[in-house]
Amino acid sequence: MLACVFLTLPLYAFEIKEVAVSSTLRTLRWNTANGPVRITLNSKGSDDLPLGEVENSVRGALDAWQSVPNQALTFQYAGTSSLAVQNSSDQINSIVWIEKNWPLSSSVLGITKYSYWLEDPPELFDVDILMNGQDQHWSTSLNPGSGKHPQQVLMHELGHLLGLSHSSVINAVLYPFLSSDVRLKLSKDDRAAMKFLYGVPVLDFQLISPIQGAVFSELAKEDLPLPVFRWGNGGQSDFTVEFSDTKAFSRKKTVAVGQGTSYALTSSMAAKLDAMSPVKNIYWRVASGSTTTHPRVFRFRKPGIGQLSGIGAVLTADTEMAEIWKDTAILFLAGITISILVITWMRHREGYNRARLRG
Amino acid sequence: MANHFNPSNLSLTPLFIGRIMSEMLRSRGPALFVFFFCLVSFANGTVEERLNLHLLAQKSDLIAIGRVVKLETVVESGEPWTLATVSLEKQMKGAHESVVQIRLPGGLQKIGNRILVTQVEGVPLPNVNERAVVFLSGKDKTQLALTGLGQGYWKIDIDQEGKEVARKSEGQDGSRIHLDSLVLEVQRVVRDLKQ
Repeated sequence: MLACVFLTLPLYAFEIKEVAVSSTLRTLRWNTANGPVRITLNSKGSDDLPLGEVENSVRGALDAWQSVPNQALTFQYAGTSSLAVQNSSDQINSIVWIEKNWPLSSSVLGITKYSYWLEDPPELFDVDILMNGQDQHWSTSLNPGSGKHPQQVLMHELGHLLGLSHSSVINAVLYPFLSSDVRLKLSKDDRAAMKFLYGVPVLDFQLISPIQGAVFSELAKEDLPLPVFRWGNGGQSDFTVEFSDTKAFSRKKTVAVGQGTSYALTSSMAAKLDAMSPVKNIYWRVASGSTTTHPRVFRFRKPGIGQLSGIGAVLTADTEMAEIWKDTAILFLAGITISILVITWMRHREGYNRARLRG
Repeated sequence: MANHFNPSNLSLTPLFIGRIMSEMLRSRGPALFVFFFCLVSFANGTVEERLNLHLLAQKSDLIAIGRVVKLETVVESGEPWTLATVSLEKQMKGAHESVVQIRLPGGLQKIGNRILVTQVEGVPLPNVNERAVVFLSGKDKTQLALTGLGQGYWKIDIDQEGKEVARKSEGQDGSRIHLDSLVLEVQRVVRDLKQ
């Protein structure tokens, strides 16, 4: 039991932020009617990089999100300013490298502090992104060994700034662990999330997320929020979510979810799905009366070992796992080296004994 | 034909390990194989099963079961912080304290007639009267931080069988562990750390 718990690897879903206002959950986002969201970089930039390179990274990260088509939010890069500091109510959305007195764990690369008025609807008011300049080395090299790429981490933090939480889709920018390679593009899951928040609402009876072919962290060892399944109602009501290991849904698990248009996977259902198909594809669809949506497929996969530092404000288990595997690898190599040395010695000793016998 | 193990024949291929083992078994090195196997097994078993908690405990100055008795927001240089006062029931590591204060980034500010909420992704939101296993860092008992943010806050609930279970704060519906088991494991890890 303990082994299961301590082996857990974080799992998040493509998630939005929701706020309880007057006993109702409301989606937290920017009001796009108020114009573009302005982003300002602190004029000190990062100690590790020329200011121009930091600015290019900020622009690149903004462009990545801005390039998602068919959505209403626009960014405006406001340049650098000494006024761009961490302050939750100055209405300056700041990006600041903290070079001293980083307030959180050293393995955290960056955090996003977001503020909103507790009103209906809740609207994002001021968001600041803090980057860990104290414990992390930053580099714009595409070689991950050179340092953390600011654009990659900023893309993740800007996702939080938009109102997104972490995603459990492994190749998503909002996945809570930095990939072992430098990725500067949004995944399909990230783009779907952006459209879900700021795009035209889906009015048809169709599936929204997870997207087709999404790959999630393995569910058998889940620890953190589980995937949320979303769909458009298209005028239907009283939904049932169905999961199956076959496209024909010959065997299936069903969950009646009433009139809502989302279903947050429970740990018990996750265990059932994992048992149903731990390595294969799992199909999901939504039924309402005699109508069903077209099924989509997703699958679970063990997270890669090469995922190193955590991003976002979470000291990730993978960070620790990376250390664990590093230690394991050292012990492993030490074992091999010692074995080879001893065997070589035995071999030489054997040869020596034979030579003595012959002599 | 020599049947003993010849390391010079080996190259760094994916079959390297298998070849070593195979050669060892065929040659006079079964004892070495056992040694090698045990070393590797020990490494995997130990680190995978224990070190997450081990690191958490190692980085923490205080580990305890406690109840949140008070929450208040203070604003320092325009930044809200939530101070969670926790009454400790049982300590597993650290100096003996009855009450400590945890500083969490974010909180509520009343500005005019409006309430501004500030949150940080990954920071748990404790409630008054909530019980939790907390892993805390810092020397000043009024300025403690959660070790690893959400990783250092295991909320305690009662499961369907009426037993106390703890789960990390990020887990809305994630895996849980019986509180007794967690306490025993933490105590064991703390003991190991002292040695």
